[in-house]
Amino acid sequence: MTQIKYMLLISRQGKVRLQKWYVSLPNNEKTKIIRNLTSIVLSRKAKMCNIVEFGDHKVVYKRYASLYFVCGITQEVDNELLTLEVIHRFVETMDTYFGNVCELDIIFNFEKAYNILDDMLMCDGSLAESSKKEILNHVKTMDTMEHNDHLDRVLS
Amino acid sequence: MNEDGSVCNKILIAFQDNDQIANLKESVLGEVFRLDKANTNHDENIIKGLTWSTKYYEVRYDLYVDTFDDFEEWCKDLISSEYDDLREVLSGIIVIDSYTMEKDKIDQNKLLGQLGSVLQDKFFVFMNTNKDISQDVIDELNDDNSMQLTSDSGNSVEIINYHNVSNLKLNQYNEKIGFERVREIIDTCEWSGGHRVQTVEAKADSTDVDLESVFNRLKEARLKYLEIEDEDEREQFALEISNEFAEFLQ
Repeated sequence: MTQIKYMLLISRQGKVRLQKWYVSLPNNEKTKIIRNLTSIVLSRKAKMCNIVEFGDHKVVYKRYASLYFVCGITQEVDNELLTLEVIHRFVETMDTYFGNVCELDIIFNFEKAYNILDDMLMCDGSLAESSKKEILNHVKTMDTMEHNDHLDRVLS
Repeated sequence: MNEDGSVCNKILIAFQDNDQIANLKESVLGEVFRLDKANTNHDENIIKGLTWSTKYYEVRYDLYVDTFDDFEEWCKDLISSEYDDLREVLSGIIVIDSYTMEKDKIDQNKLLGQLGSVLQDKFFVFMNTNKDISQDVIDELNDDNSMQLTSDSGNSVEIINYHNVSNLKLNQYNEKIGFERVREIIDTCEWSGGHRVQTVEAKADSTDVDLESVFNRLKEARLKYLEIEDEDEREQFALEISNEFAEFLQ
């Protein structure tokens, strides 16, 4: 069982590239969390633990090249190692979809990254789909529908 | 702003003035900015009308090339209010100098931090020419909290090794190093203006294109094409259709 509170993708330059909130929080609270987590996570060294206590909850993060994937989790419900696997599965899926994903791919195709994430995690932060193949199939179907829609628009 | 009204970005690159400067200039301008010495005068202080291209966008920029004898003095000048206008128009700064791990390290860090704090939303790269500092030490320096002095403003200096002594292509985090990392930082910086280039959209592996549907749509498109009387309009329609089909079939 997972109940992720939020998923953030922060670059080494401190820029937030993706953010998905699975709990309702006021905007100023979200900004505060992002600001604090950015400085905490970016300053952590390679051999430090990937799990950090943060306020009333825990944060699990993993660095892939110049991108930090950060998840806020519910302490009583979530498993930290499972959260690391969720992050890894998200990265693997994006990697297959984009073909060696990089920061620029995410900046210019952020909606695709959100589509993949939405397929993996439900709106309450629980895991909806763990199969990479299934997720890619869904995203591919959405892409085909989108292209069909473009064609219909041109033909109409 | 250019004559045609488009925004022109500016990057400042500063070298320490020493006997290695000609080599440093040639390799940095060549490797990072892809400026061939045969086509570009590397002695110019302002190289205008350059284009930065990625698979997603193209943007025009000017390169300001500067040199300094004393980094501290140069830094203080750039931080001063006299240079507010210059800093305002810059997309980022690259400094090429030797990083010192000795007693004056704190001052150098402090200077880098001060400069970073006035460069809001702009990239800031320090290219270290000191061969004695290994990639692992550079990674540690970058991870070090003291180097993230400006994280509040969403900006921090990134130290990158000029020399690739170990011949590695990636660091321990699988992150690009050296010139390729500088290019990656510039790729993802916040430019003004620019335009997206036609890209092949990323797509999951798939070979199951519904050919029947493609042919039906082609037929439909041909009928519509024949109905259009105006020749220009017909050509435009044909072009749009061919682009859409090309994208659909990829």
